[in-house]
Amino acid sequence: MSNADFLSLDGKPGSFTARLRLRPRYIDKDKCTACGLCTKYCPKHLVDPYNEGLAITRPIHIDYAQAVPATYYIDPEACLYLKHGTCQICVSSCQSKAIDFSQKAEEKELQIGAVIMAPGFGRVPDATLAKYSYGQHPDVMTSLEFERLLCASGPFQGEVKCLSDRRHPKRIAFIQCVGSRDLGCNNGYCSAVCCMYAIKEAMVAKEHDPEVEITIYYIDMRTQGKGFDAAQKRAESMGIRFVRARVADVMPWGKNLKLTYSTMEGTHSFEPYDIVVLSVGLDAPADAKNLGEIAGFALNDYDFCKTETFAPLLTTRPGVYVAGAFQGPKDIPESVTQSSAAAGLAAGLIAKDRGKALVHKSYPEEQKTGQEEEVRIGVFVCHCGINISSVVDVAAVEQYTEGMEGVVYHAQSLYSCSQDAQEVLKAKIKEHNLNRVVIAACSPRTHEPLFQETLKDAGLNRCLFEMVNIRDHCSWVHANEPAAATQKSKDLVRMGIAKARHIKPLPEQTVPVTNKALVLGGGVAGLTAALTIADQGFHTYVVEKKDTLGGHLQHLAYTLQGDTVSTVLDELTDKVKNNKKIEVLTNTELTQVSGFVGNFSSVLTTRGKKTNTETTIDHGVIIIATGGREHRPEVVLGNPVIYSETVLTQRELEQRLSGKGKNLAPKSVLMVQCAGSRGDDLNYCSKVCCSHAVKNALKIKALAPTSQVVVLYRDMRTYGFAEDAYRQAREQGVVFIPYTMDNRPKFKGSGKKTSVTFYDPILRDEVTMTPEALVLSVGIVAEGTEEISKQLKVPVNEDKFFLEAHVKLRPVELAVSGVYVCGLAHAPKPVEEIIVQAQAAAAKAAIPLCKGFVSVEPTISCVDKESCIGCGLCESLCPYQSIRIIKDENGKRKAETITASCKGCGICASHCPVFAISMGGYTDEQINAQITAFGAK
Amino acid sequence: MGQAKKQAELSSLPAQTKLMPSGYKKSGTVMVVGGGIAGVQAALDLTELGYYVYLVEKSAAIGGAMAQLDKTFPTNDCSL
Amino acid sequence: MSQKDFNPKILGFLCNWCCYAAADSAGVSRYQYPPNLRTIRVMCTGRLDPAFVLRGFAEGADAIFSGG
Repeated sequence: MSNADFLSLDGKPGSFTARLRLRPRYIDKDKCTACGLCTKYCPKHLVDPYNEGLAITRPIHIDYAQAVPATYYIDPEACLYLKHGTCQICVSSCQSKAIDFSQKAEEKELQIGAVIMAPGFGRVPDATLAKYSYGQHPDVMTSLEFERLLCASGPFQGEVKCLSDRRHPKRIAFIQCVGSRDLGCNNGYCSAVCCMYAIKEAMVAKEHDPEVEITIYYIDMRTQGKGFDAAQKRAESMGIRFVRARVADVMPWGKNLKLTYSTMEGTHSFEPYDIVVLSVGLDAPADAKNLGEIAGFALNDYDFCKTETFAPLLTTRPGVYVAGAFQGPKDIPESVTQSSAAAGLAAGLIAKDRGKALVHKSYPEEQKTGQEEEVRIGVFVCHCGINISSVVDVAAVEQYTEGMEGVVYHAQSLYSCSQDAQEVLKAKIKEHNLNRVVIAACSPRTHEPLFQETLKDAGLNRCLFEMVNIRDHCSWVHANEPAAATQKSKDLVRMGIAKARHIKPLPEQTVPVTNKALVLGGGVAGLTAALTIADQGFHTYVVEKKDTLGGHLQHLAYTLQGDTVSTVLDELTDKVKNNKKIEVLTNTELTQVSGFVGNFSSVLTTRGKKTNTETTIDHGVIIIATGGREHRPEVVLGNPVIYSETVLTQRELEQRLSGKGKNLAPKSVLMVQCAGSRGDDLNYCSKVCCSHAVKNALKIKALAPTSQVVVLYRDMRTYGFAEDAYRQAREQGVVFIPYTMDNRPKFKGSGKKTSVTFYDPILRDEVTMTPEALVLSVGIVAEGTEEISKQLKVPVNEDKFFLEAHVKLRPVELAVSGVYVCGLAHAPKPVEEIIVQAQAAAAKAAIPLCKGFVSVEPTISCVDKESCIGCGLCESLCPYQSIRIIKDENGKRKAETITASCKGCGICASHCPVFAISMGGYTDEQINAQITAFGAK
Repeated sequence: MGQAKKQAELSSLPAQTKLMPSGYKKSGTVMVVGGGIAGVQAALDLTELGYYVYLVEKSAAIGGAMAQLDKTFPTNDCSL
Repeated sequence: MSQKDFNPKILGFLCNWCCYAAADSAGVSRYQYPPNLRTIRVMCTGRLDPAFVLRGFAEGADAIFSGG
C-alpha cells in the first residue's frame, strides 16, 4: 500500500488494529500502462525530488523508471486542476483512460498480529549546511545530490558537471561529518555511513574522469565494516587525497569556491574547488515523534527509536519491532540484517498463526514444448540505461539476429529487468508464441531468477531461457573499443541463440525438509539464534565445544550503555536451558557432516571423562556461530610485547576494573588503539576496540577521576550512538592523541618500566610516558573457521571469516544453501550487532523449516539407464557423493543421480565413456552448438 | 542489481502485498511501516516465513533512499 | 600491443561459481581487457569434455581458455 499514512494502532501483541489513510493517486492503477504520455502533456513544472531537485518533472509523473508500483500519480499540491480547478489536459492525453480525479482518500482498518517499524531516516536541516554556502552557491551540494549527478538516470545522464555553469569540475572536495558529531544541530551521534559513501562517490567520480582531483576532509575515517578499510586503500591508490582537518567554511571565490580548513597542528589553509560535496548525516525521520505517539513507543534523545543493547529491535511497546536506520544510523547490509531479524521476531510472536493468511501464487499451466514443435526464439537486447548502450551498438546487435534460424522476434529494452519490461516480455511471449527466450543483458548469476519467474508467469518452463552477458563481460570491460565490443556482443548473442535452439524444458523438483536446526556455538550468537528458531516452533540443537555456555560474554563485565553483562547472560542461558525445543550439547564438536539443505546428517562427538560418545543427528539447516577470539600479537607497531600485570589488553583491564576491592583503577593509563590491527598484523579493523577503550576509560574516570588516561589512536571509530560516550570521555579529561603508521609510538623496557614515546601533534613534539598500565586495544581473530569451511564446503575470506552469499542483500546466508552465519565467525562486531545477526540468521534458517520443502535447481545430471554400462567411474569421481550405482530390476549395475545433493558440476557427464549422462541445461548438444556458433561468422 | 530483483520479487507476490478484495485477514498478518530496503526485506522474509504482510509506504513508490543511489560501497555494485 | 598483427580468437569455458563470477567482478570493477575472448558458461569446468576443446580448435579457435 503506497501513498498511505499510518494513523493509529490499538490492541495488544498478537491482535492489533491499525488505521491507515490511503491517499488517492488520481490514476487508476489497473488501467495505467506507465507509458508516460501524461507527463509529456502536463504543462506545469515540478522540481523532481527523486533527483534531489536537480531536474524537473511534472505534477503527473512516476518517481523513476523502475518504480514499484509502476503506476503514475498526481502530486495534489502541484496539479493545476486539483489546486485551481483548471487544465485537465492529462485526462484527454491518456490513451487508457486511467486518470480519475474523483478518487478520494479512504481510511482502512487492518487486523494484524505484529508491527515492524522501518520508516528509514530523515534529512539534516538546510540551516546546518548554510555555513558551507549551501543554498547560496549551486556548486556546494549534498552527497545525495552528488550521487544523483553520478547516476546514469540522473540530471546529466551520469556526467559530473558544475551546476553553476555546466563546466566539468577539475577539483572536488568532500566535507565529512556535516550534520553528524555536531551538537550544534543536536546530532551528537556519528551517522556511520558517510565515510563509506564519500569514498564510493569519490571513486566513481574518479572513474568518470581520472583527471579530477578529489580531497576528502575528515575528522576520523570510520571504515570499520568488513572489507571497508580495503576500499579506502583502493581509493588512496587511485589518487584520492584524505586530509584530517576541520573545515571552517566555504565561500564563493570568483568562479570557484574557497574552502578554509584547520589541521590538528592548528594551521589554517585554504584551497580552491569547483565542487564541494557535503557528506550529510542521517537524521531521525521527520515524522519520528508522530510515529512514536501513534504506535506508542519511546524515542531516544536524538528522536531515533529507543532500544536496549541486548534487545536491539524491541521498541518499548511489546509486539512492535524496529528495523533499519530508524533504530540508529546504519548502512544497507545492517538494515537488511535487522529486517530479517525483526521478521523472525515478529514471526516468533505469532507463530501459532503461521500460514493462516497466506495466499498461494498460482502460475498458468506450463505449455508443452515437445521436441517436434517448431523452435520460436525471442531475443531481447538490453541497454541497461547507458551501461551497455554507451559502448555497444545495441540496435546493431538486435538487428544482427534478424533472420537467424529459429528467431521469430527481436527487440531492445532500456532496462530489461524493470517491472514494466517483465510485462512486455510476457506479452511478447504470448503474442509471438515464443518458446525460447534469449536476453542479452547482464549476468545470469544475478538476473536469471528474475527472468525465469517471468517465463513461469507466461506459462513457459523456466529452463527455456538463455542469458547473454553483454554488460559485465563486454561493455564494462571493453569501454574504449566500442566496435570490438559490439562485435563480441554479436558473437555472444549468436552463440546464445545457437544454444537456445537446443534447450529443453526441465521438470521442477522438490525435496522434503527435516524441520530441525543445528546451531554451532553456544555463545551469545548461538544462544540467541537457537531461541529465535525455537520460538517459531522448531527443535534446535546447540553444540558448544567448551563446557559452559556464554562464550566471550563471560569475560565482559559491563557495556558502554551500562548494562551488567552477567545478569543478561544468566537470563539468556536460563531461557535456553528451560526451552523444551532446545537441546544443548556442551563439550561437543561437529566431526562429520553430510547431506544438503533440508536433509543434513551430522556426527557430533562429546568428550566424556573417559571416553568420547558419538551421536548422529538429522537436521534441515545449520547456523554457524562459532565465534572468534582475542588476538594477542607479540609485536605491536613494531615493538615486541610481553603481556604482564602492567602490559595488558582491554579485556584484561575490564576484568581488573570490575573486580572487587579498592584502588582498582590505575593512576595513569596509556591505551594504544589498532594494536595488531589495520595492517599492523591483522589487515582489518575489528570494529569494537575503539568503543571498548572508551568504555574502559570512562570506567577508570568513574572509579578514580584523577587518573590520567591517554589514548593513542589512528581513527576513533565510535560510530553510531557510541559517539556520545567518546565525547563524554573527552569532556571528562581523557586525552586522545592520533598517531600515523609513519610515526608509530615506540615502546621501551618491559613490565612496570615500559615507557612509550609518541608524537603529539598539538605540542608538535615527542612525548614520553611511563604509565602504570599500558593497555593494548587488540583485535579479534576468527577461530576454527577453516576446519568448518572444509567440512561444509563454505568459503572464508582472506582474513578467515566466513564469506556471506551477498555482501549487501544476503548478509547472513552462505554460498551453500541451508548454511547460515552470525556473530564473530562472520566478522568482528559489537554484541548488539551480534544479537541482531543471530536473529536474522535464525529467521533465514527458519524459512526452509517453515516451508517443509526445498526446490532443487533443474540443472542437474540425469542418467540414461539404457546406455549406462555401470562402470562406476561417475560414482568414484563425484565430489559431492551425488551419483551412485544401483542394481536395476534385471540385476544390472546402473548409475543414478541423487537429485537433492547434485550440484550440477558435470564431472560425471564429461567422464562418462558412453555419453549416458546428460546435464540439464548444459547438454553435449547445447555446448557443441555454442562451439559451432563460435566458429561461424 | 539486487533491489530491482527484490522489487520484482515483491510485485510478483501481489496477493500477499495488496489488500484482498474479499476483506481482511484476521490472524497470521504483520504490518510493516516503511517501504525502503529495510521494510521491503522484512516483508519478503515474513512472506517466506508464512505470514501475510501489509507493507505501508507513505510515498508513491517503494524503494526508499536506496533507489536514489547509483552504486553501493565497497563493491560499487549497481544499487537498483 | 600486437593486436594489429595478431588478433586471436579465443574460446573460453567459464565455471559459473568462480571464473564466470570473476569475469562479472572484472566488469563491476571496470577492468579493461582485450576483446578476443568468447565465452561459454558451464556449472563447473568438470563439465569440460576434451572433445569440446578439440571441437573448439576445429571451429577455428586459436586458443582455448578454461577457467575453473
